[in-house]
Amino acid sequence: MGGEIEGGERRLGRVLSFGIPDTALGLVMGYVEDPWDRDAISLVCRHWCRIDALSRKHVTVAMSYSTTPERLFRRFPCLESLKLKAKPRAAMFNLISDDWGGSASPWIRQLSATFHFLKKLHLRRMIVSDDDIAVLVRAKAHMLVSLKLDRCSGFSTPSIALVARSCRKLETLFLEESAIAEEENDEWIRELATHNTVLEMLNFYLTDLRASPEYLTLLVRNCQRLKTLKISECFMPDLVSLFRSAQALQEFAGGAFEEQDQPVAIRNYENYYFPPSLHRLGLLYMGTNEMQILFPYAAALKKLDLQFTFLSTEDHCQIVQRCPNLETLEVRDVIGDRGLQVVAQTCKKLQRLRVERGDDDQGGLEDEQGRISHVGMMAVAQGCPELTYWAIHVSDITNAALEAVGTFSRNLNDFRLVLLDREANITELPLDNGVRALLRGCTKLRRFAFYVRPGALSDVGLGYVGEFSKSVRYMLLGNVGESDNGILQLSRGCPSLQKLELRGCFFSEHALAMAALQLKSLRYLWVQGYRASATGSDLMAMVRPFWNIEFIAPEEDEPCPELKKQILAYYSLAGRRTDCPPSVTPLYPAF
Amino acid sequence: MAADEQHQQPASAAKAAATGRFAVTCGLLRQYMREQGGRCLAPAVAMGLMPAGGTDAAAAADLQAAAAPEAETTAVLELFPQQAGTLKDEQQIRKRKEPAAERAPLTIFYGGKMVVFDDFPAEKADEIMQLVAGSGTGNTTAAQQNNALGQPTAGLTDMPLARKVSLRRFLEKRKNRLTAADPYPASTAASESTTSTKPAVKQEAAPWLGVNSALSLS
Repeated sequence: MGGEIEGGERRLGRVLSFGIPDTALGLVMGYVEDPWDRDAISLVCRHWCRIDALSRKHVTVAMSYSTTPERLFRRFPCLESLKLKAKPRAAMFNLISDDWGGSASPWIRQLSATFHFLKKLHLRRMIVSDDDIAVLVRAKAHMLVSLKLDRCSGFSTPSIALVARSCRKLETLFLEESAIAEEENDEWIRELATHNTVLEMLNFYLTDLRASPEYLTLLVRNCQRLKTLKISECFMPDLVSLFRSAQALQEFAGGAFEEQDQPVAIRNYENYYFPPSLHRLGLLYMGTNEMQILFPYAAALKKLDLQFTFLSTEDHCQIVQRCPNLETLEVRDVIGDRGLQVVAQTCKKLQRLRVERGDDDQGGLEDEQGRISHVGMMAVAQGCPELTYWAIHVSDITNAALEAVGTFSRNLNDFRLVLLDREANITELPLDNGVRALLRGCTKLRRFAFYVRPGALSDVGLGYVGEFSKSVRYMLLGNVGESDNGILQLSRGCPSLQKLELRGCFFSEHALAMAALQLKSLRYLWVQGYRASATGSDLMAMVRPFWNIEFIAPEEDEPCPELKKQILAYYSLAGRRTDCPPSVTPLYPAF
Repeated sequence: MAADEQHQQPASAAKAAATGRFAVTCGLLRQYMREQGGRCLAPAVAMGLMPAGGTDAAAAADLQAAAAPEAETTAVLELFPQQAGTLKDEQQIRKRKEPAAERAPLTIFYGGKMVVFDDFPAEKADEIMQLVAGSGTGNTTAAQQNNALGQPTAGLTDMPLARKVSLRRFLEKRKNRLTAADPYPASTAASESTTSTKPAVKQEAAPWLGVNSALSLS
């Protein structure tokens, strides 16, 4: 009988699939933008899969070695927008050697030749050569609307000049934090300023690229639709006429001020002009003497980036209390508990809060008050109920603080906590119960990072993480657990976990392999700091089809090579990597 | 041994440094075996020393010398204090049997290889223990094994927090600005001078080396 019902449902499914004309199906799918929904649609039947494939406009390949460009084109020949990521996140922390891989060449060759509708390309943490850019420009210059080289390396400024000269339709040029050779050569900004009239976003924030204020001003005059301008260092007094011209500008970041303690007369920034449309701001190297530049505009600000400023705790308080409309705030921990209390009192609309790690080295020169504890955390949890993203580096913590997050921050979908190592004693450890309360309360959580110190999360706590993170897809855990039992407990839960990063946990290879097999949604695993076997052979327990396992050996001259070893494992339809440098050893038998 | 000490002095003992304890315990074990002539191990030994000889010898340099296969399971069991009683009982029983025969099964894990002896003489086991004691002192793998048994170790100072590249570059620049008296020409050519003060993109020393060692005190 059960069989009959099953059979009936299956027949019904087919009727539904085939009953809708393809055109109608394609049109309906056009309104489904969420990639997760699209994935679900494509699994209904082969027919729906094909309609989805033909109507999909954007795809993100989270790991460029997980498929091949040819395969991607075969399935999605009509793509208009593609995002590719390669190097592990650890590359942003200098933990991945430069020769690891992640070349964009095979992708750019294929998409230049075949993806006829492609107009937006976003490459993140990849190596992009000047040749790659030349090939791309030759094929796509007439239609490229958006080019993002996001934390990439391998190319030089003449290539940017080529893009600027050739891609007249370019609306978005994004180069944030990319390492670009020949940074002194500023021909690229002249090309961009004189050839482009449609640019809406220019971002070369946190790069060493040079851009003269004159050409930047020309660019702003020529590109009347420019909404976002994030630049490298550039003296603020030289940008006065730029801001006078930029009547559509909504976001600005970059700039530079005089160095402190200079004999030159301190400039008065009180009357500095920003266009009234400007709502998002981040000023490099702003100090106490210059922060008045913000005051007249503070009440209108929705986003404020103070990560790269010289402000004290008190300065942060002064600024934040003038910003009641902030939706995004990015600071270093120098803001202190006191600053966070002001945030909690003032910023009732805050949705995104990032508190980065400041200078906590011994002899660091940050403000004495600049440390965050459970006090600041609890204040923010109670004061800012709209938070969806919250990343915080704390020096001290209690279970109650995490419980407060679980109680009040019900909208969080991304929570990341790092417990710094500068304080010898932490008020309350372990944090098992706090983590349980947090995960129980924050049911919308999709991403969760918990980087603490040994003893801060026991095996029992890891069991809670497994049990209560039902919808978490990405997780980073550092220095957690006591034994292999911890990771095994965790792997019994976490049904949605796709990407797991572990650091300093000292689980055995065997336990890691068992966990990888048990986590049913897992498709990406990165581990550094584990209990390695002599030959790495225990990792072979997780061998299975389409599961690439790579062992990354540290450079020989590094101290403590045992601790620097990394494991990277990921699902791949592309088979074995063919471009492994000597430091990367593929451990799996080829399938 | 680490976990066993936790049973006797919960929590506070856990903070003691682990390095070197292995060698000390092996020494104690040797001394005891010499005194007792390998006969009639008292319960106190089972509590204080044998787990060390049994499981922790196992730790050193991937070398696991276990008097009996069950010793393997103690690594997991020791995490749960409520089970400590049964654990000790088992070990006592085992220890009482072994000296009588003066021969016992022995399993050695070393260098990724496993060797099993069904019938191993006690004095030879003693010699192996001495070898282990010699090679195991200050061994990082021993420290790691201790950690797996539930105790944070000093070894973790070698895994400091990594700092985001963008922030590290900024903080270096900040330090330079606050400490150095490098003049900064505040003219229209300022943008040039700002780039000239930039640190190199590549750092010759690993950035994480500067982190303090407070972590070990946790």
